[in-house]
Amino acid sequence: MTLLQKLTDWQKEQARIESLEGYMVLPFKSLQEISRTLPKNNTELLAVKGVGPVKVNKYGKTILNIVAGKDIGINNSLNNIQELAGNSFDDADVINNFLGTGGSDEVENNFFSGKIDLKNESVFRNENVFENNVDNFKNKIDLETGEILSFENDALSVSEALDVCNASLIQNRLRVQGEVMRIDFRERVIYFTLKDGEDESVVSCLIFRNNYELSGVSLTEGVEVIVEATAEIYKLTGRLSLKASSVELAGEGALKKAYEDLKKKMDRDGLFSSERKREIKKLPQRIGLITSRDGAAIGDFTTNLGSYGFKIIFCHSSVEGQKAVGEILSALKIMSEKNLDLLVIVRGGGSLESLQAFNNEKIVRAVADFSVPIIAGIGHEQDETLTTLVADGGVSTPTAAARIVRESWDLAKENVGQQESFLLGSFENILLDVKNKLKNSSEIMMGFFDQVNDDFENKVGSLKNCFDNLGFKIKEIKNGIKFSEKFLQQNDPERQLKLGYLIVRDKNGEILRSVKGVGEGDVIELELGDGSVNAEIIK
Amino acid sequence: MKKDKKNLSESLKDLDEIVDWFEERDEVDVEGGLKKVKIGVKLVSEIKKQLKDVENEFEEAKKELGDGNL
Repeated sequence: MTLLQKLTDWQKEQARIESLEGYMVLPFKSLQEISRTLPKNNTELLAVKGVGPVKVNKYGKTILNIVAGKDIGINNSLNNIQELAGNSFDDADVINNFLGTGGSDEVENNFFSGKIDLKNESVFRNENVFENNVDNFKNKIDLETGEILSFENDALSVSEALDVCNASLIQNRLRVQGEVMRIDFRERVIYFTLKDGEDESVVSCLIFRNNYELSGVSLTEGVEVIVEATAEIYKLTGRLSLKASSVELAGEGALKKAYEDLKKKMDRDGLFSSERKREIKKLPQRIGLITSRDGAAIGDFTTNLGSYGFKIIFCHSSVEGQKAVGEILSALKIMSEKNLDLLVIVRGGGSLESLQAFNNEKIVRAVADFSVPIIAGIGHEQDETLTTLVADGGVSTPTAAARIVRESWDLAKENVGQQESFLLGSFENILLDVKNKLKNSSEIMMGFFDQVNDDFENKVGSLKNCFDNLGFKIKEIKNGIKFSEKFLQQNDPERQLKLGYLIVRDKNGEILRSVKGVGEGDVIELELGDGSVNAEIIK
Repeated sequence: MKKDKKNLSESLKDLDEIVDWFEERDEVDVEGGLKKVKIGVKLVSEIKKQLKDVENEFEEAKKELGDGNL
């Protein structure tokens, strides 16, 4: 097992024991650095990014033991990366994002160490305090618990006493509401006093300017605010003050007013105008998603997205209340380098107070200036955050945001269906046309011969008729001839001669038709059937 | 399919020409007609075969569309 594996196993186990996310114990990036730099003592361990005095106090011994190769007897368990690899997101990116932001972990550390990205000198001053503490810690005091590890004297020095106190104080993250009094704006820090609304108690507060600006609230005397802070005694004055990491307006009324004021200002700046909004890219593929990995919104969004092969690049950010501002801003920064088609920011509904990060001027402007179109699905139906108003696709729920993302895909799917039937229908028509043409052509060709045949038969018919007529006529003629023949036969004089009749001629050869023409002694000629004889009239 | 074989639309065009010949004919030319009919019948049977192939391919493509989860 590699050292990194051992470290992640330990981190996982520790997280389980403390009921925390693994990265809250130590970011994976820090574990990587530890496995690379192999720190041998607390000072070297402190040099690792993401490891502050608090972590050193809490885990230093264990980590150094693991690095030194001593068995600390932890169970093997899956590490964070594998766990992440099990979900449906773009794994590599998720892990990168995960490592990149360090999630809320880094911000939480920043709270103590001042290591926020926005560097300024006050941050360094803040770190110096810890340097001192660390020295003390090495000698005497566990800063995490305030436990005194070893005594050199019977009594603590003042400084040591304050270290013990501060170590206890820092354990408690306070959320304090009060009325602002006596504000002192310095270059890097704003000092103010919070007064209790009921019993006149007061407490000094300070907030670094970068955190103040991130909060998007302008402090004025008399305003009721809530600060997130830890208490600390400043050793040079012995005064206790609340070091605020964020400040927000208290009460729906004040929030509402701040919301309306900012809305008016943004409106004047033209941030909500429809001309400014960018068109959501059709058929988007690379979708950036910023939301909390723990909320319901992520599920609402992803389950309603449909299966269109989206590549979801997820970046976790807390989305609750004022403290989410910093995380959302850094998530936006990370997302701006992810070559997205569009970015989606979602969270579920909530009070104006819980949604106030989305009414923060810095966030609203960051959304307006973002490199690709942003869809915001924030809240329930009635919620309308300024982020929603400024987003290119502003809707009121994560589900509606998913609908916008998939809209062009749904439409395309529907179109494909229509085109499919059109295509099939058109081609079927073509086939039908060809078939009809074939049928017609065949009919025409065959018809030609039928025609020829018919003509021929007609002609044969007429010819036959002619022949019939002719035959009839011939017969008629034949009959006529027969009759004539018979007639002639019947009228042939020779036939009479044969029957015994004879033709008598006088001496002149004339046929005798009367006795008056001849007298006694005249010679006459008798013509018989087979010849003629002469005879003499006797009487 | 043979390479020198005509494609469907060419065959159909040829068939058209033959049909036109028959339709334009005023005088009866039986020998000419017979020749044309012989070619025509061959064309028709070729086209039918080609058409069948196309239809089969079309049905397959249609089935594929139907099977796909679009």
